[in-house]
Amino acid sequence: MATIIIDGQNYELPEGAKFNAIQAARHFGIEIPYYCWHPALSVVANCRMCEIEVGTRDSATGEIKMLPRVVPGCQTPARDGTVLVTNSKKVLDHRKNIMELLLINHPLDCPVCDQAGECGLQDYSYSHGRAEHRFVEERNVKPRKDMSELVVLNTDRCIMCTRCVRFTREITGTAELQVMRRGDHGEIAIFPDQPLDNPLAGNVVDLCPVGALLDKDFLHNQRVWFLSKHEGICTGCASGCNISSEENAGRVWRHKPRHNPYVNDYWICDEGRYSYKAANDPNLLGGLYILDGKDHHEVPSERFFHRLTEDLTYRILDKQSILGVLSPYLSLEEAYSAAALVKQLTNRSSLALGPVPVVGADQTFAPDKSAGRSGDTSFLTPRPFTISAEKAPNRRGVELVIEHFEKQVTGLDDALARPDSPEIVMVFGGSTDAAWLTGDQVAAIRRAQRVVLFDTTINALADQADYVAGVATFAEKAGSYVNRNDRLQRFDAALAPREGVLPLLDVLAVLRGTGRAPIESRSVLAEAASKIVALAAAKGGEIPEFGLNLKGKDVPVPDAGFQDDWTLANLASV
Amino acid sequence: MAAFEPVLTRNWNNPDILSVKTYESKGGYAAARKALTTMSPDDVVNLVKASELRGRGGAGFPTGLKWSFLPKDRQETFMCINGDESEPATFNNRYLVEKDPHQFIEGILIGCFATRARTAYVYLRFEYIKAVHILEKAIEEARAAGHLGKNIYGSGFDLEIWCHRGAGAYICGEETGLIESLEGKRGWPRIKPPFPAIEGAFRKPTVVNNIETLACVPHIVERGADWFKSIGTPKSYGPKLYTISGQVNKQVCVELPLGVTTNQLIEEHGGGVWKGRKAKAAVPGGISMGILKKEEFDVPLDFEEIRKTGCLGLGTAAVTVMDETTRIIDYLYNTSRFFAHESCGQCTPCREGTGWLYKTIKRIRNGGGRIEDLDLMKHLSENMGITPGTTICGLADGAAWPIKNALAKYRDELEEFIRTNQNPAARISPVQDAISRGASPLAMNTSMFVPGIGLAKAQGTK
Amino acid sequence: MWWRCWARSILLPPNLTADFRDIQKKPDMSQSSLATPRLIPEALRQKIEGYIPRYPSKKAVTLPALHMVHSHFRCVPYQAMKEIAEILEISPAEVADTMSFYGFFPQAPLGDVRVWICRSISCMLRGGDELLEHACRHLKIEPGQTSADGKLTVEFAECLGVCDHAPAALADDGRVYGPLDEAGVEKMLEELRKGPVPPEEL
Repeated sequence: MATIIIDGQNYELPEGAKFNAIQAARHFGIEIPYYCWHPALSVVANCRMCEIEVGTRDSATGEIKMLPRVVPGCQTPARDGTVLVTNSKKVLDHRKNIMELLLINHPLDCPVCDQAGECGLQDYSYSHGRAEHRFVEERNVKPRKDMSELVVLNTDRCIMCTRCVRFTREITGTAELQVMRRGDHGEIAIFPDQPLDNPLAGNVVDLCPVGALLDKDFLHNQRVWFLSKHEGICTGCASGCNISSEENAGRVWRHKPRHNPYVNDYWICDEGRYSYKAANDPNLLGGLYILDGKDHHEVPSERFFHRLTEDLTYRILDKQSILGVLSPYLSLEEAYSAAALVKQLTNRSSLALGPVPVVGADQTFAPDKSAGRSGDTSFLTPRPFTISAEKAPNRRGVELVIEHFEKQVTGLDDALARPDSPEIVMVFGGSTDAAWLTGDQVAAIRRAQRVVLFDTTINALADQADYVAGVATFAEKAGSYVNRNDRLQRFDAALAPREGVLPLLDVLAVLRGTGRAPIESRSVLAEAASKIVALAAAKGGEIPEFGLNLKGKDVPVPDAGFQDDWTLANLASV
Repeated sequence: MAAFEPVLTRNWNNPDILSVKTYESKGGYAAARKALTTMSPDDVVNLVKASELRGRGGAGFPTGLKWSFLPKDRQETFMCINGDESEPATFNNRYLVEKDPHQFIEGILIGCFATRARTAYVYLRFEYIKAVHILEKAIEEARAAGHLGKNIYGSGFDLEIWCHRGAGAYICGEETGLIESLEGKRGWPRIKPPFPAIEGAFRKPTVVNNIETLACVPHIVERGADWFKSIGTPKSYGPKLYTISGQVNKQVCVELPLGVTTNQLIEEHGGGVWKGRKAKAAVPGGISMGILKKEEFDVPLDFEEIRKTGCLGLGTAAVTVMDETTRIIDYLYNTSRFFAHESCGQCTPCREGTGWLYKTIKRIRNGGGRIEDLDLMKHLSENMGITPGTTICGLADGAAWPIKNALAKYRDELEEFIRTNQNPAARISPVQDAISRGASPLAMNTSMFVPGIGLAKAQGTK
Repeated sequence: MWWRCWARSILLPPNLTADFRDIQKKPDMSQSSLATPRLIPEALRQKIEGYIPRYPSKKAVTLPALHMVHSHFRCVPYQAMKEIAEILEISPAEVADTMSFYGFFPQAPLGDVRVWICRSISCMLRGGDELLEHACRHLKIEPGQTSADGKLTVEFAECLGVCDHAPAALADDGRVYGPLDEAGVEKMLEELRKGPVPPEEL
């Protein structure tokens, strides 16, 4: 067993851990401040904030030998017998010096800076800095520059940690960013007319520990301390990236990545980052409507449910058949509950998987240890990042549900093309894309005698369906999705449902008669897990932090769970 | 001590020595032939180890030891020759290349054979325009004469040497900065470990040696380790090229046994201080090494003794003499300007610290100094560099040492300068002054903003 | 009440996600650079490519390529950096990153001869700073600028490594001047005005 000594205390290092001093200390609840280091990037040790006193303990004699100088924690491996001192006067003084140096050319413009409230300079000034200010010379003045349509660089706020440059060279391999000039005239820059426009570009804003790189989409919209953060899963594609969905006053303002070593590591793509906008769309479908002649009429819920159940009961007694269409945008719980409803209504019922949108091909960024690296890579575990061509979050989850109720999964087009076409079609949507059903599909569905639609956008089918119910969007519901690699992951709701809108789980519970709103997604998942063999591991509706691998066991990742301070500052305070 | 026989400079008076034929006729390439045909690589490493040759580039690391750090099971090794001689007042490597290029090439050949490097890159600073022409021509001739290329002397050893020109960055003289620059990147030094011997140029085991270090190697092979150790002072063996410049009558490069004194250099080789003046101080080995007082001129300039004066080390053995009229503030202004210009900007303490020090010293020199600026300079210079552990490379140490030394040795003069050289136009604003003394902006009286009154008041608070 | 009217148009809302994908479309740089005429002539291109076998990585040719382009154009324009990047299979930003680190490469063309006047310690002690000022005054320029007739560019230098000639100056054809005084500076400038000399005459 490897023992490490931090501030005089002995700690047992976890088996197989390849930690540096920062990670090891964090593992045991001790903070070592840092800027330039990032767990997924090579170690360059240039900010010098993480310096501590380091020594070794002789395993035979127990004698401790300390190095005479301070050493960066980011380049210090945590091994058996490593001694770290993080709280001596020498270390604390050093941090004060570094903070002072980082601030001498930094403007005091926190009141107008978007980063304020989640800024590395603010936080560390408060906890590690000095109150006095000895610098009396003229400051260097540097310009504000556009990096792309979406990212702006406030060069004067930059502390030259080079995280952003390393990201574009080591993770995306696109190398749009460069350091320009040298010394205290150094600046981050792009090559003229070659903007920072790779599909992961927005991550540089998260990586920036200060207010230098900012997202123009978020610029001056909200003070970050007003935002509530909710753990979400991106619905932009089948990868299932872990995100933090940040909301205030009934709107989502931004998405940020959450670390998950099995899925997205520390990143999200720009498409997912800006997919929050759909949740704020003012033209979403809300309310309950019944088609009366040619026009839809909004009806109160009692009337809607009464008419719907009466209509369905009559038709079922008349031995009419039902097709339930489950879109890949449904959560696993919604899909299960909807399938259970359709199956419980009649034995002449069948299920179909709604259309799964595919755009282009999968795009994978596979960093390796040797290419493009600028610093030490011995602590790194490179992990690939994939943007899926499949633009829906839960095809696999819906398939698992359908596979449970029926032998095989049938696509919507096949189901509609069957000779015994269904008399009743119940469509469970949920896409933020109003065109998720093609015109032909809408027409084919409409050939049924009764069409019931639960959806979030005002789309062509909503225009023609007999019963239309607006349900909660991806941002308004909680539940779980199964990603492309069969990983079951939980997400929370970021927003309360809009006025006049119910979560689909509540609607389904009313129709199934299994409970009264509000329904907890966890209890539905527990029910599904008890019935569906493939979901047995989610017993009781429990899903671990990094999701549940439904295909088998995860290979343990010792460095999992290191949340970078500057990507998701203040998440702990949620 | 027996009379010293110069070896490195023995051919310098012969302009024909640039041709490989002449060099061969003077016994050139015999040492290389001896090493390649009668010795094993490990024999050469052991010989150099036994000679206790220390690197001539500045740090004085034992060369044989450096070579023995290479992994035993390596497939490919690179040799980088550090000719980015940018330390101010240093020009001995330029002489070595311009005046006897084949001696240098022979050194590379033996060094590469010992380290089994089959590619050598000579990183020359771009200012050595003439030297590049001479060296490239010499390499061509040596290749044509069979001293380079495939299967040299039938030993089965192959070697190619390429010149790689720098582009004006002092930091590329740091070995990992040089490697980064060679790889086509900005010359930002790398963190160590991994050391170049394990993972250097192109992620392969790499040796970085100075030009003069390699130029010593043929002579060690030819004359043996004992000969080498018979020259110099304890722990500092062998001949050394000293350069002397600044305020002396003759600015020259001379070969002497390690351990001569500054006095000897000035009087015997520099023709005395210029204009009939007396000396005041000297820079012992490039400005990074600090400053020697006149009283310390009899300390031997070798790897060990010089440190006892508070200087950083021998450095490049480039002695710059200052006469009695030179002001220490001008010396500090010059060194701080140099390091602020040459800091690569990677580590925070050096990037910000060198700029800060330069601005402060410039203000003092212009007449805006405050006595407490000296304390600030002391604090800053004590907290930057690899000595306190706050930077990756030694550039910041070099920037700090002149200031540390000057404050230790000439503080009185600097204080006197500040007191007697006050220029109101160069002073900092009273508000800034007050803030720097810890005044809260909220508590500040408006009189602070009125020049004169504010200053008096702020100073009164101390 | 829970249930509220939608009372909104039945028009399809704009699809934000799809819109966003359009914004994200990369301008195809490879095509646009093909469209612009090549700056680096074929012979120079081949010379640069000739350096590639010397190094295990193409990127290592960056500095030699910059030097070759610089001596051809007397500056390194952005278009040339782009073409170097293409030859070496790296991104233009990486070439610019390397180039801007070193003090050697200007982006605007230089005079026929570029001369550095040293201001480091040995030269400073012998009046280097003043001689630089004198040279600039003489040519009516600031350090780093080119004389009006386009013949001379005067720059300061941090140690040229010719301290045996201190206070010294170095022309970019390799000629070394020093020890200089004010008259020597003027004489040097007159001589340099005649243009560069080939390496054999050094």
